[in-house]
This record gives sequence, C-alpha cells and structure tokens, in this order.
Amino acid sequence: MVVHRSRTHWVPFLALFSFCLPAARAADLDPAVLEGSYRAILGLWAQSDPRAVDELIKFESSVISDLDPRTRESLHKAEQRVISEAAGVDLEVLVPLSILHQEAYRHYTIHGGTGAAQVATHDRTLALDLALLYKKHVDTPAASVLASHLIGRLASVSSDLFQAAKLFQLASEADPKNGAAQLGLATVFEKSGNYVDAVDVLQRMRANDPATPAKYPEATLRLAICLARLDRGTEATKLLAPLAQAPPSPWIGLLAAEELGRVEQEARHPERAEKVLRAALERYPGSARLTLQLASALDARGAQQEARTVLDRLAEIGADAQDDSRYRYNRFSQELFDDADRVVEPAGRQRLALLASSLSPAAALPAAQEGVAR
Amino acid sequence: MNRRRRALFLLGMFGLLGAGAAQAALQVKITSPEPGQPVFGATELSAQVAGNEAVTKVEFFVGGRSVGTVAAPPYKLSWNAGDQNVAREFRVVAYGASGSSASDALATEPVQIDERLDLELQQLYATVLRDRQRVLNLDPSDFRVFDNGQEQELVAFDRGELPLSAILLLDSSESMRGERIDAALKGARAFVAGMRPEDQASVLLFSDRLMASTPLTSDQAVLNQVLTKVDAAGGSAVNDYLFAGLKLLESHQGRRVVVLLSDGADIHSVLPMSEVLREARVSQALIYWIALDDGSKRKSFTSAWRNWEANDREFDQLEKAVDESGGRIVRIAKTADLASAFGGILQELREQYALSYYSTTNKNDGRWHKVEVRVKASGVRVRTRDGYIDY
Repeated sequence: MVVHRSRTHWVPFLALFSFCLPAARAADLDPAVLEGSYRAILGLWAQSDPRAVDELIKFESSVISDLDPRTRESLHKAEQRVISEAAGVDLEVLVPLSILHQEAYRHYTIHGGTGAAQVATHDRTLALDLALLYKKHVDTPAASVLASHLIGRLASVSSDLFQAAKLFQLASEADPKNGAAQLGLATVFEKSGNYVDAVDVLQRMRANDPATPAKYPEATLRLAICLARLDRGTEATKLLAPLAQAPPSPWIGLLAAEELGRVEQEARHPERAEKVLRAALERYPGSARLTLQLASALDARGAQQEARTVLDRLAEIGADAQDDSRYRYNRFSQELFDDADRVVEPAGRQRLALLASSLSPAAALPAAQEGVAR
Repeated sequence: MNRRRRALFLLGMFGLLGAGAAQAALQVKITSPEPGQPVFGATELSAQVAGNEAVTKVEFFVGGRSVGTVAAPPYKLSWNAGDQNVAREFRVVAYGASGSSASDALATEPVQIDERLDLELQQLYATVLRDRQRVLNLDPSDFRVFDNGQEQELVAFDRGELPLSAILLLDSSESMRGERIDAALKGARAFVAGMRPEDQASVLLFSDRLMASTPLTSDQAVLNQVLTKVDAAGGSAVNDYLFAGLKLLESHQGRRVVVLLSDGADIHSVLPMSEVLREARVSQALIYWIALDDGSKRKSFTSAWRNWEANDREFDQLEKAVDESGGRIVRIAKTADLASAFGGILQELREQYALSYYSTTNKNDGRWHKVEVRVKASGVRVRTRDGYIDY
C-alpha cells in the first residue's frame, strides 16, 4: 500500500463512509452515487491499495441488502458503466478488474457474511464475464492463456460443484493446454460421481500433452482411481503400481498404495493385496489406514488372529498420524494453481497504471484520491 | 456492451459441460451384492443401467440360473441366498430395445475363519418390547428359541446381569466441535459411571485418525481420562474405526457391545462398509448407533470417494449391520438428548434377557444359522441378532 504517511489516520474512515451505503432499495438507488463509489474503489485498486477488496465487499454488501433482484441489477449496471468507460480507453484494464472481483468472491467463499450468497454470485459472475470479455475482444493467444488462468483461479475457489465445472470447462476451452483447469474439471466430475466423464477428461489431457504424467502425477492417480471404480481394475493397476513404488509425493504414494491394495483385494488376489500393503507400510509405517487395510485383508483371507496383531499397532500410531491424503484428494489442489498465480498476479499489477489512467478523474471521489499517493 | 454481455451469458449458459464422453449403447453394473463378500439369507440383487438406449428388461442370474427379471427401474429384487457359507457367482444381463444387451458379473466369497472359538453354546441377548416399553417380567418358560427352524432347549437364562465388554466409539471429527463433542463426552462418562465392576469398556475417539483410546478395562479412571476433553478435528472415518472396534471385541467372550456415536457422512474411510458388515457377522457384537442428525444428511452427499449410489449402499449396510446384530439405531436430533441416549442404551443392556442353548443343528460347516426368538405373550416384539455362522 502506498499511502502518504501524514494522512493515513483518516483514510480508512473516509473509505468506510464513502463506499458503504445505507441499506438500499432498488427504487432509491442513485446511479451516480453507485458509479462514484465504485469508481473510487477502482481508484484504490489502481493504486495497489489492499483496502480496495474490503471496500468493494462493504460497498456491494450495503447495496445488495434486500432480495429485490432490481437492486442487484442496478449495482450491476452501475459497475458495468464504469467498466465500459475504463475498458473503452484500454481493454487491458479488464484483467485487474477481473482480479479485483475474483478477490472479493474468494473472500466470500472463505468468510461468508451478510447476503454472502448474492454478493458472491455477483462477483463471480462479473469476474468471469470480464475474463471472457478480455479473451474475446483482445483475441490473441496470450490473451486466451491469461483468460484461461483467470477463470481457472476463479474455479479453484468455487464452493459450488456445478459452477466449478462450468468455470473449469471455460478455462479449458480458453486454453486447451491449461492442465490445472482440466484436472480441476476431472476432479469436479469425480466429486460428482461422474467417473466416465472424469476418465474422458483425464485421458484427453494425457493424449494432448505427453508430459502430463510428469507434470501432474495427481492426474494419473485420479485416472487410476476412476478406472477402478468403473471396474477397469487391470488398467488401474498399471497406473497405480508405479505411483506406489516410486511416489512422486508422499500423499500420492500413500493413496496409490491404498487403492492398489483395494483393487487387488476386490480382484480376489489377497496375497498380492497383502504384499502391496506390507510394502507400503514399510514406506509409511505411521499410516493408520494402511494398517486397517492390511488387517482387513488378513481378516478376509481368514487370518483373524494375525489381523488383530496388526491392529494392535493402531493405538501406537494414534493421533500423531497427520495424514491428510484423503482430505487433499477430495478437493482441488491449490498448488495446481500456483502457475496461474504466477501468470495472473504480475499481469494484473502491470495493468494497474492503465487502470488508473483510464478512470475518469472527474467522477472519482476527490477526498479519497487525496489520501492515496499517485 | 449489453449485446456482448448477453452473448457471454448465453455462452455461459449453453456452451458448458459438454465434455462428457458419448455414452456407450448400454452398460450394466451389479450394485448389490458386493464382490468378495459373504452372502446369506434374504439378499438384495440390484443393478444400474446406463446408456442411450431404452431398456426392455434386466435379468439376474445366480450360479448360471435365472432368479428373476425386472422390466423397469429400479432394477432390483430380493433373493434368498439360504444358509450355505459358499462362494457364489452373480450375473446380470440388460436388454436394450434395439436387441442389444450388456452384462456384468461378480463373485461372492464364503466367510473365512482360521480359529474356532467355543461357540457351541449359543448366547442370544433379547430385548422384549410391548408398546415401545421393555417387558421385564418374563421367565424362561415364556421364551421359545429356534435355530434354523428347530426349537432349542434353553440351558441358561439371565436378565441382563451378565457382564459386558463395550467399545465406546465416539466420532470426534470437525463437525462434532463445540457443544456436540462436549455432550458426547458427557454421555460417554455417564455410560462409564453406570458400568458395574465386572463390566469392561474401551474408549476410541476417532475422526479420520484415532484421536485417543484406552485398552479394554474396568478401571473407570482410565476410561474417564480420555473422556475429559478432545480437540475435535478432521473428517470422519466411521467404517475404519467401527471395523477396528469390532476386531477389538472379537477375541473376547461374553456379551460384546459397540456403541457408535456419529453425526454425519463418512468420506475418509479406506474400508468399505461391506467389510465392516462381514466383521460384524463374525464378531457377533451388539451394535448400537447413536446417529446425531436431523435426518437430512442421510443419502444426500457425494464425494471424490463414492458417488450417490455407493454412499446410499454404505448407509444401508451400516443399518443392516446394526439390525442384524440385535442392536438398534438411536436417532438424536438435539445435542441435549445425547447423554440420555448413552444412558438409555446402558439401561437397555441391563434389561436384556440372555438366552443360552446348545444348538442341535450345529455341524461346524461354516453355514449361516438363522435364529428366531418367540415370546409366549401377546403384543410383544423381540429384538435379537438375526443369526450366526456355524464354525
């Protein structure tokens, strides 16, 4: 945040009173006030002022305070007018604007808040539309890649599976080489129990980019697990065995071993299952799940006493076993979107100066600008 | 701008979710029974059919013989597997309107046992109810016990005074945080306080890992040590720790009880419920499930681990394990009712009738024996376990 030190004491108060409106009704909303407040927030954002996100949240929450759809529409139109003005000067400003609304959306998905569902939907829609507009009107390969990363990041924080699928799909279409988006899409299909489509996406991903197994070992794990659920155990085993024997990361290796053990057990190869599980337990001696699984495998082949001996170890393992592998598997890996962050964040920063110059100075709140260094 | 936005919205609305692969003409999958699992008695056979073709019928086969045909979804029927502890082959064929067909097959396994306990003396624990009130004044002469249809002679009769070995299995996952876990601990402490000197128990606090545990002991101080406070966190692995609890009891003689408290969906277990069900049959423990929910969580979720149908089956099998064991599900809508739920279970155990007999039908052949208890009184209902494996 770049702020004149001498004025920092009054800037937050000013911002609070400037942008947070009293509870509004559609009929009462003055478009000029809405546009002015929004423009001032964009002014903060253009100055890299981190308060911009909080101010946007306060502003939009205060406007969308009733269930009247016309209220949301009024806000939408006011913001559109400001965005149109700025984008009319330079389309590149759509990138930092999309990021701003994405940040507000991310905030709502994590923290919730009053009217969170409505405001979150509003910000998600706007962030997406701005990214798509950017792709469509700039229309260069680089713009498509950037838009794809913008949308992929947005999808990765979506708490709604249907919306996440929609966003990952759009991100994949914008840039078919966006592996994170495709893996995200496959994850959504898998979480929805749609293993057929998950397999389709993951197999296409591997076909399009032979480096997929090396770049995204998680994709191989997911493909194997989905194949196993579709009773394609032989194919699954071929993918799981290398992951279990030479794990690219501990959590993937652990899950690969668990699933391989299960596939072998379901295929009525208890000796193979036992071998896999014992080998995995040497690698992960603190795994409660592998311990339980081995006990179950022994139990299933009639070795009840040996199973009990194996289970005796559970108490030793206890709560210290910090195994988050299944938790990780059940959600989008945020690390997948590190690449997107590396692309999106500098791209947004680079365009802030354009945003600053594209905002109409006459309409911005002069007091707010006085408090922010230029 | 408006036109562009509209176009984008249309793109958003209509251009999505087209990634699905074209479905094959007809696909069928057996969803029940589960492969590799033992099958006894009334057994649901079910199949799922997918594809872009109308289905005219689905036919089920066991050991190569047709056992029934279903013309419309849901494609399921009930078939009596009998009492033989043997491997079986199941096959299903779905027929499409165009004349095409698809099939699926699986095999189930017999229960494997490597040790023989002295189980010729069969002990049944029966709860007798009239108008939902327990009936407490019955004598041995009021009971008739049937083993595989043959009436048996009672050699011992008790009224709940028999010592018990109990596993208290408390879900301590994130969703239990706050007043729920406090109430659960309080309820479990009440259970422990009600134990008699000859009773023993073990406490297992679990989430997606074992948070704390005690050995099986009569020492209430040891048990209470882990029932004071727990930092509820993580997901819930009900299957895994129910299996572990049942295994812990397996080698103990006498009345064995598992009291499971869980409030929600299991997305963290590595073991399927079918394996727990198998263990429940072998262990012969009474299972009480205190289900902390408002009824809305059941059958209403999917995860990366199981789809809707698979989760439904998990719930069904958990309910089946409880029912077969002679225990029951205690549904709790309010946290405040938790303590009384534990107390109610202990009281029920104290008011059970213990019926012992030497079966005249035993052959140690690994077969499933169906058990029935009748009471010579009108308007009463008896709850006890469904049967046992003769090994």
